[in-house]
Amino acid sequence: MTDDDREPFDDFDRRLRDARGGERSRDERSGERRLNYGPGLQAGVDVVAGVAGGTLIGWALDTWLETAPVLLVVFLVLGSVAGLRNAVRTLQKLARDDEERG
Amino acid sequence: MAGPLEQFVIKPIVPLPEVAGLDLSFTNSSLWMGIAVIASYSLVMLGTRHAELVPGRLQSVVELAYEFVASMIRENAGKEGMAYFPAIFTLFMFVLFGNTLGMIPGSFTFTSHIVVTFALAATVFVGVTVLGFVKHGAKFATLFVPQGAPAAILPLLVPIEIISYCVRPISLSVRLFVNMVAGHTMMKVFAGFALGLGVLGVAPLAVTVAITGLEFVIAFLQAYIFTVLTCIYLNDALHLH
Repeated sequence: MTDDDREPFDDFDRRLRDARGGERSRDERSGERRLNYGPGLQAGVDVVAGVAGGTLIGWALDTWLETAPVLLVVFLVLGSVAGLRNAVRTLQKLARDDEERG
Repeated sequence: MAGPLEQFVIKPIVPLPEVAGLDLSFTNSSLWMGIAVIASYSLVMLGTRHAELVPGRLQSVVELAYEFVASMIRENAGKEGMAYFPAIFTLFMFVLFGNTLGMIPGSFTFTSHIVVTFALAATVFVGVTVLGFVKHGAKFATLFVPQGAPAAILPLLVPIEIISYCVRPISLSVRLFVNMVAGHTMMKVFAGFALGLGVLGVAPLAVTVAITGLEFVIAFLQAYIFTVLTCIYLNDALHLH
């Protein structure tokens, strides 16, 4: 195969790469917008679920073991912390995705 | 005019007798769940019936959906997660159709009821937890022990980790249900303004049009988020830490 034969294929490869690169950057931009959509709201739900879940578990255990209101208080605090923990995780995940997309 | 919350009322269509204190009537919610199942099933079946190398319109839609969910699983749960593709794809299609069918005027959005979303989230939660224990045995419990934490604070950290694991189905279901209820209520409220204000109603009418577009985005986005979180939970069960 001579260099003359090879040349148009190189050109095609380059154009294909360009076309693909262009497409990917457009995808990345839309992906960024999508993940930036209300990250505060995403994390907020996590906190609310933690507080509600902790209260529910505490109340259920209190009713079962007849220790009201000790476990309710304990699990309300633990649940709030767990909710914040989940919220931090969600935000970290969103930030990591943003970083990967550049 | 109907109030903004009346669209969420569950009405029995075929009343059935109570069984053990449970009302088993066929309701508008059941009807639209059935429509969602039939619609998504027919879409996939019709789209793949005459599969061609160069896909037609219907086949393209099915292939896009397949690729979308498959890459989501590969990115978030790894190659091993692909074994659970059928379940996750079904979940995605069901939620997506529930959200988008709810955009048809006069239809019923079954994802706007926490019973429905919580049942879905609880299924995911139980399935993933069982899977974790089957795959790793008792070692799955080390998921609740944060790496590198000093032993002294473990008695405090482990309960927090366990609770934060257990409230996952709550946040998963509340997120979907709150988004659907808030969006649909807002749309009805602005539509009500448009009717009540006469000529000036043009402004809220424009807002309603804009919200309708936004609602389609949210319908898709919430189906995406629900599925992506399912993949992340699946990832925890498949790969400890």
